[in-house]
Amino acid sequence: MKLPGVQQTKWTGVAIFVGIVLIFPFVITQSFLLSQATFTGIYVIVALGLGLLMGYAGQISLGQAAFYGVGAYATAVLTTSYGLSPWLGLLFSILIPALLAYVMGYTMARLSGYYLAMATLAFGIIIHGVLVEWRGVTLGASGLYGIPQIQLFGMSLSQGLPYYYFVWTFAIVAIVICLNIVHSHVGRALRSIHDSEIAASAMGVNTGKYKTQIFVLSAILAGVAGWLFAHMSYSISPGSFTLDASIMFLTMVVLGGSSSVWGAVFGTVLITVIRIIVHELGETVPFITSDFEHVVYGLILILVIVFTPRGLFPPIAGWFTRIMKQRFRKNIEQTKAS
Amino acid sequence: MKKGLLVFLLMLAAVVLGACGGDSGTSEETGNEGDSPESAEAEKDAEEYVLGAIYSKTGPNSPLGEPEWNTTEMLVEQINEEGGINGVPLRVVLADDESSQEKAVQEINRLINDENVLAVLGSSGTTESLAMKGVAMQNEVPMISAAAAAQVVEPVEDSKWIFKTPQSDRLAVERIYMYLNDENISKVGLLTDSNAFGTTGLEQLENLSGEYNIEITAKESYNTQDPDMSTQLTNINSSGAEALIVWGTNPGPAIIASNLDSLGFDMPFIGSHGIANQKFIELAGEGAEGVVIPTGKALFPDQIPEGDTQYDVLNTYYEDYVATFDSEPTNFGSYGYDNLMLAVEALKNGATDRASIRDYLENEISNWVGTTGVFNLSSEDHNGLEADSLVVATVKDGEWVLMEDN
Repeated sequence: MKLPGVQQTKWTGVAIFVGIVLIFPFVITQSFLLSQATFTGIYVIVALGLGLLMGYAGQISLGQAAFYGVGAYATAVLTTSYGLSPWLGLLFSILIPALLAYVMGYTMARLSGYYLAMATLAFGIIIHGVLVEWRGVTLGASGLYGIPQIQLFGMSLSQGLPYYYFVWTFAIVAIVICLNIVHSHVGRALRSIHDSEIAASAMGVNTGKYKTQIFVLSAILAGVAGWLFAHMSYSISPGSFTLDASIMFLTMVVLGGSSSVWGAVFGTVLITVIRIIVHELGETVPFITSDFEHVVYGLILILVIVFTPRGLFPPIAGWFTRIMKQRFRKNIEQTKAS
Repeated sequence: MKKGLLVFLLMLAAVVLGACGGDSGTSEETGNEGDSPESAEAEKDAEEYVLGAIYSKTGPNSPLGEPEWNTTEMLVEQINEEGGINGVPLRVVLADDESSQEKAVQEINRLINDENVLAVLGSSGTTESLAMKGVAMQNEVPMISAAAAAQVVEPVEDSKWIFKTPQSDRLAVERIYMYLNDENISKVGLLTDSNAFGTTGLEQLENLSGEYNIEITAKESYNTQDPDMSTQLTNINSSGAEALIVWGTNPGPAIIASNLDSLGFDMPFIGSHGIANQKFIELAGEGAEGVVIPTGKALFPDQIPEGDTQYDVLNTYYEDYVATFDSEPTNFGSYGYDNLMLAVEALKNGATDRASIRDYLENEISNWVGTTGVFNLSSEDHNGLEADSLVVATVKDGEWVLMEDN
């Protein structure tokens, strides 16, 4: 009997997932869906960090798009204006959001619940303002352009199959890292903060330290996603890093469920599917426009919170394993009978 | 509750499968198309020419994208009714980027790789067009943008496959400064939108001021949806500006015009081509009187003198558009017209693959009469327009009228 909360990472899940990611482009050959899947990979990385922050540290961040944007702009400015290699850019896409998060986390570690949500909301708006107004560096609202492609083994990674695999390699590494954190003593400490901060600190858990650490980690993941996004695109503009994007990330995590790492992944995939459906419907139904997406997000948030507060992933995963077990049992019975 | 959830998920799965199985997101019926690029190459001299067009039909850029979208649909129908291009029907796959950079990228990937289009038209906005530029360059597909900013086609060595039809904001600024020189106004205050349109406009206004001996006495900015700009106007007025230059799109400039009117300042209001539409006059009301802007001729084709080389093209297009959609095409519609017709011109003259369409556009388009202006494309200039493709207009009795002398 394992102690509740002390779980080992189940590598079969990771293996199955890697398989799906590898096979996907061969099953779905449409370039449109492949680029959607590439974007999904980028969003998964952001959602993972936010999932850890929400599900394990019990914090809500409404400013995740800001870290994503800072990561993207850090590398974009350095590679276009200063001619740095994109790989060096990655270093800064990690360091700058991490530093920002550390400073913020340090001052806001005592905040929780709504206060942290409000503080991160303000942070997101400030960063967006900086990106728009700091024209000397960011070139303002029309965006920064001419971002070089990433070179790997002498090959430049262009959009399509190469970039799909590149992004998902990062995403899977991020998933593995998150799974390890969750199943370590840090994960247990975090979960104790989530369940009851007072109890945790009474047990000697330095809640402020853990909260800051996880906040920095979520910023790093968002920064890496920003780096991937910037070098996929020829240009970036502040329009991609607004509150709308932060809400989208939040919806992904809430929909999938923040109590497990896979929830964030599942939620991201589901939101992408919903976006594609809304887009498809928009082609034929005139009143469904791009704003409709936000209505759908709002509806999802309400429905999930009312009916399955833990998100969709845990009940679906439970149902799936039950069915598989039943099948398995039947198969055994059949083989026994024959 | 669990059961309800299950049913919902099953339905979702069914819809997804349906969406994946079907042709993803085409707005026109597809005929026969190959899944792989090879089969499309084989079909080259085939039954139809396929172009792609991405315009911002919805979202903040929809006032730009909608006339462009409508124009494209209308022209394709006309061309096919008249027997296509040298007997080959034309098909344009239209896609809406919803004024979002991410969606523009996804759509151009789809058009280039899934639909195997010969060329891509669009998009309406600068940020979307710049995002698409990267994909078009990587895949070596000719792209004709409808965005204002010059950086879409500059620097020209990084824009081998990219062209654009709207007058660059640089030309609009030059046209305004020419007008100011004629009026002997040398001190101006700038009030610009903080969005992409306003920012690139501000850049050009600053860069060119020296060349035309214009002194900028004050620089202020606002956000598109701000409800009142009296503060900025007061600052500009006290800076000693003789005229006010406003760079933005509706509704901002309309609010500025009525603010200026109620404050009673004696500065002439000079706008950008971004407010060249009837909507501006409706919004600004009395304040619109006397506002001066640079604009393409598509704003009022009936006022263009009959001797003008563009007279016939413009008026035919304008009348067709009004008859079909019961609304004005505006300058944006004319960009949609020129984008498509430039590509059609190439196809008509035997340039029927991606590389030869690009070469044709760069080398063979000279003195080509479009609705936006007379185009002379070259390896140094992928826009091909001069400042004379713009005219100066003013509001008189609630109508845009051409200013004859300028």
